[in-house]
Amino acid sequence: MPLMQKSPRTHFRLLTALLLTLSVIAAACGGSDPSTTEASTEIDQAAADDYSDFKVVMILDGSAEDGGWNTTHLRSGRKVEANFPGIDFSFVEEIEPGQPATNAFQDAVDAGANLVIGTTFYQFDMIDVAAENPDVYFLTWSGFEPQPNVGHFSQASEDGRYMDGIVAGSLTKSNIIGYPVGFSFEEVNRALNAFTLGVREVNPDAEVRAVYLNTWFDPAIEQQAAEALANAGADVIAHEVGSQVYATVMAQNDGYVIGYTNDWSDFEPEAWASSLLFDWSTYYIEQIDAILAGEFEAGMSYGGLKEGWIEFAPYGPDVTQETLDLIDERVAGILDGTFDMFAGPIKDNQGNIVVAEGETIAFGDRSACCQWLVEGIVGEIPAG
Amino acid sequence: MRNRLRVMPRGVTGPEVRFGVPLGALAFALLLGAIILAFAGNDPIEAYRTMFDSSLNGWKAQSRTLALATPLILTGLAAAVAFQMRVYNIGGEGQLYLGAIGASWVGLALPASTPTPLMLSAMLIVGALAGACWALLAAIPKAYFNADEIITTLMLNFIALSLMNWLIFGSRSFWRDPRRPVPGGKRLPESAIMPSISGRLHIGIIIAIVAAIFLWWLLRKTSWGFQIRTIGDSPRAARYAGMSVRRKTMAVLALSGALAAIAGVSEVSGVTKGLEPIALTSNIGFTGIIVAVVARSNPLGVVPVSIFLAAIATSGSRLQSIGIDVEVVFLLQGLIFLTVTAGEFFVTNTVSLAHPDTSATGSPPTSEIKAAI
Repeated sequence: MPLMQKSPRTHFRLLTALLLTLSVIAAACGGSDPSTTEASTEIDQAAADDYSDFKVVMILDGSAEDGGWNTTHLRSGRKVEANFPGIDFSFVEEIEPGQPATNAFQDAVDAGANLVIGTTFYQFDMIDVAAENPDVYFLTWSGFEPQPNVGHFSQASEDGRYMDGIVAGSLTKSNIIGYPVGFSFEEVNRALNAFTLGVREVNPDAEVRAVYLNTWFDPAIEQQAAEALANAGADVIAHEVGSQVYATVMAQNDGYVIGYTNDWSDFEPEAWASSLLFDWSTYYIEQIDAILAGEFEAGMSYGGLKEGWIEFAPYGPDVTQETLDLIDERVAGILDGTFDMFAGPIKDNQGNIVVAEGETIAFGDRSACCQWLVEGIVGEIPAG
Repeated sequence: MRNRLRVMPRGVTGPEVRFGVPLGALAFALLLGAIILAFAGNDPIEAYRTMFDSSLNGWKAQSRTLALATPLILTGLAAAVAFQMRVYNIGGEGQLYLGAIGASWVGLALPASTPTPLMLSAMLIVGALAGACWALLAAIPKAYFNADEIITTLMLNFIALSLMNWLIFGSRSFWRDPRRPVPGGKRLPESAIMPSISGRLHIGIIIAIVAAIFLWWLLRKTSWGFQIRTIGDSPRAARYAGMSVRRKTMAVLALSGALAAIAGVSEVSGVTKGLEPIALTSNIGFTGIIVAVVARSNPLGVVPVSIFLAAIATSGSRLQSIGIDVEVVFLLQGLIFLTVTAGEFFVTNTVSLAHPDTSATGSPPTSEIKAAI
């Protein structure tokens, strides 16, 4: 997508290819393995099952091995595969939005797919294909244009980000937490707000410094942002999308990093704090069940902890038991409805009351939130 | 033993060389690709049949290839016209964004009831003007202060990208659709959409091919074009002959910017149907530079090179779906394009081995490459 995105990804791809090759060689040298025989019996059983007529194609915009967004989607897809024995699940990766994406959706339909899952901003790349193929079902992340055979989905990141905020607030000693993000829009602001509310629950003196990078993925710019935040005294950095540079910079500065939908606890383990993980498989499985039962419902689905769309990576070594207990309490509170992070009063960082005492932002309305940043965030939504 | 590789120009060649060499190069590329595919555990025959089916076999596949080639032809022409004068416009990417911004502004600002021909003409004119003005930001410093246009046009790409991102992500601009959960552009009205020829192939392809013919005529058949090529060959001689290098520099860069911008108009009107930064930033402008270099800046050469490139690229997802790794797909696509384009060298030149003692005889070679063999 952005201009400078290609080369780091390519390097990563080459490295992955090399590692894969080496692992294949290693596996080949290892001789026969009991797990291979196990796998083949599984396939034999699956072939006899009902779901082999159902074809699912997932379309990914980056590498399935990116360790983040696309890996998460593929992981969810693999759970679908496990849930419906014999289902014909496949994916195509590195499909750029625009004409290549439209062609990939068309190819999936031509290959006989019953369900095509688009995992990024493909709304208008797939809209015509969906209209021309009313018998095929589509699920598209961040979509919104109503079509009878299309489901849209978006995750309630705030349910996970609040817990990440509790971790950050309890770990910081300087009371400065960095939060570089790509662009400012509702979903990003909502996650940033939830994070900061979590931080301020355990540490009302801490501030969160939001930095808008205007790129989705650019390790060079991210490196500069991470170093600038570290120099400004930040000892915890949380980020959205992005690369592993934050972990490296925080490890060099004895700080902590909070990831974004990836378990990088093995990478710079001393600096690792936490990360929410998305799991869309519950949504995918529900939708496939509905299609098979002839009860597919088009439209928007929004899910968080309660819906099983949010999970957590292992917490880092320096996260205390006290913090973990509080997180358990808050998670339980969200699940049974006794805890509401957006319960008023909430002030924005300009001093205005945005959620009044006794009010809240209903779960169903959250996907349209927020065009404001809560108290405690240093940074502004770009004006316009 | 040190031998020499002797490179000699072929001089006048017949169709057997003009078409035989590229076909030979293609066969060589397919052979190399087959070896790689076999090593990766894939069936080369199945892979090549899939590539052919998805890009060239039948009108449906052909129209899809042409749709993908449309913006490449235009950005390829943009680069080619500048290269003819040895002006290096690396800014096609940014000029394309400006064309998209300008065209979508017209499409959204004019009443939706505007007749399509009028609407599309206005979008093309405003889009092309926006791209031309953007290119002039580099052309004027080049003409008056000899500022290096490679640097300025390249840098302007990033500014154009930031501008487009700001319009959609950074502000509540006229272009942005406020009801979208993830920011994007407002949808263009039906009257601002380029009519379809077949499936997703739209009339942008006609605009692109007409532009190629017009540019060929301009460069080859008019005195203006002759002057451009003369300046490209020798600016000092051109100045001595009384040609205004300064004005031509600005005119050529403006024309180049306008062509790249029309690619943006075509994409925004025929494909994305709104200002969509995520879909528009797919390096079409940069790819145009490759197209122009391979086509040796010949406007009529840009068309087949773009179609060839599009034909290779369009098979990506089909190849993956028959079980070929994405890395192998990219490797295969790159290999075929590189080998066939490198083969062009042998259309105009012959290469032979010669011993040092015999190399003195015969007609003088254009260049001699020492190779330890």
